[in-house]
Amino acid sequence: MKAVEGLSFDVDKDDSLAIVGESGCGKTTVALSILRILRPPGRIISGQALFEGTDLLTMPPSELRRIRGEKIGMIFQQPQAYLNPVLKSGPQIAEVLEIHRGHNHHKAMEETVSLLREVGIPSPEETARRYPFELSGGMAQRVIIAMALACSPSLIIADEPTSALDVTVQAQILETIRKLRERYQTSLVLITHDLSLAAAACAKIIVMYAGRLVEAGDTDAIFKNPKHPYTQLLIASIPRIHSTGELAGIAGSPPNLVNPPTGCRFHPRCPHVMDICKSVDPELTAAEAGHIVACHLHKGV
Amino acid sequence: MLHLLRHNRSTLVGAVLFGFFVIVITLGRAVYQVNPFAVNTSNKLAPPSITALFGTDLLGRDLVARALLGGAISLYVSVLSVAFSMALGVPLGLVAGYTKGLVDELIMRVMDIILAFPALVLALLIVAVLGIGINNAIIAIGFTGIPVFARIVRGVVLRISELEYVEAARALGFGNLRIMVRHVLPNVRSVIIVQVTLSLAAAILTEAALSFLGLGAPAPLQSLGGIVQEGFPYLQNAWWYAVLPGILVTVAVLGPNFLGDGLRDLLDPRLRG
Repeated sequence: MKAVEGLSFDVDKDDSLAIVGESGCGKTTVALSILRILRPPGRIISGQALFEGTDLLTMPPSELRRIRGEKIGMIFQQPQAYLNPVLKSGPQIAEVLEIHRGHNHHKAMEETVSLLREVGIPSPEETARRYPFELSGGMAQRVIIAMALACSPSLIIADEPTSALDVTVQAQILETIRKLRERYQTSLVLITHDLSLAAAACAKIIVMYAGRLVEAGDTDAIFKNPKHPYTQLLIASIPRIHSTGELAGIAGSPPNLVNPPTGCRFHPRCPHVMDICKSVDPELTAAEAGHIVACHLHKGV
Repeated sequence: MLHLLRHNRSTLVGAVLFGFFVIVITLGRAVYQVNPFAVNTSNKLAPPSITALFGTDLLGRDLVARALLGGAISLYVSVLSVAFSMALGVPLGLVAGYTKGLVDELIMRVMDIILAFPALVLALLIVAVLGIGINNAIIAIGFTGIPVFARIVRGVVLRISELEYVEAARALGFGNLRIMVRHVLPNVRSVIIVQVTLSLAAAILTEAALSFLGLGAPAPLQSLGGIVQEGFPYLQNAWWYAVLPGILVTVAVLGPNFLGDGLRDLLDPRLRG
């Protein structure tokens, strides 16, 4: 079963890219594969992950460990689960500094406190002494962000960083990430199922469906001129604050990747399906400058 | 609810029994100043009395004094054996559970081979090879206890190494050794503590059996099992010689056993949660 196939994207320095898609479309697999932390039986079969010129996928493990946590930071979905329950939060952040920057414990703890303050935690010294289970979801996520940003990485990969949090906390966390990105000029790859979140946080968006890239482009272009029927339906399903009537959804459910549909994988759910869609898999073509789509409705401009 | 209470009571009993045993053994000889080596052939095999609560042995030595010393030896050998089992079993289980694959298979098959032997038989074998002595007894008993620790630790580590915070540690660029020792191992603590109490009970019993067969700590520093062995021929006419130290062994074994059982029940649902 191929979780992801034929995916390609670029992120420049100080750029932000959102990978959007439903659960099971393969977006988390992409994130884990970049840093090669995908667990067996998952495997990377082919491809490259070029970071600052070098391919991460063929790098020796000792070099890769220096990139992880130092040049590339990751933020995950459920903050409490991603913190060690038997260690206090301060030492967990300090450990990153001790390993990657060679600080002694004292210096690392000092820097930890200032990091906690930077991510917007009101009483950093106290929080550093708390165990993860004593923190709220938002606080725990800030601790994780502090850990990811401790060594001022050039890239942050955030996999659904706010999905497990309250909406108000979501906004705060996003704001924190935005401020830190500005300060450190960190690039961001944001993985989310929430298209409106992607629009708020990122300059570019790629849309995934069933392991494939179906549309990619600047956020503006995607929202003003969505080409792929899936993207159009996603945008239409975003609740508008003044709208009345039923919420629009997308009929059907994502395909089983063990036995995917023939031709275009979206064709069983597509409102504009044509005969060709059932047998031929559409290739990615440019719909306009900087905007690509894989759909038989848009065969070249 | 009642279930928990019932187990809580036996845990308490276990803790009290074992605590009592340890305190008596460690402080007893300071309080009860009778010389366990003082031979007094005019008073041999005397029944329990006010002056000698456990009676005397075949050389007239006070059995309470001997039991206190013997208990200390039993405890010494057992505790060191368990430490030995842990020192080897925990790292093996940790590596097996974290690394998985071929390494896991190899380690676990070796553990299976050791487990195939009943503990006493294996300990006998090792003592037969190494010779009789207190240190050899520790090695022998300790060796039989290694697989239990390895298995228990491996089981928990298999589960923990798939958890999210281990994934996060990898994403932060931590090396495997550091992750194993600093992130996985501390989360295995509770399981190890439970197993220590249970292994201690088993070690005390195996040690007593070994000594009873004459292969444990040699005279004059016999453990409780050694005293039982001495007193065994006199069971008919001087029952106190073998029985009373034997009861002490029972207390010493039951104590940590109950304690360990109760601790395991107390910690188990939290382990799975």
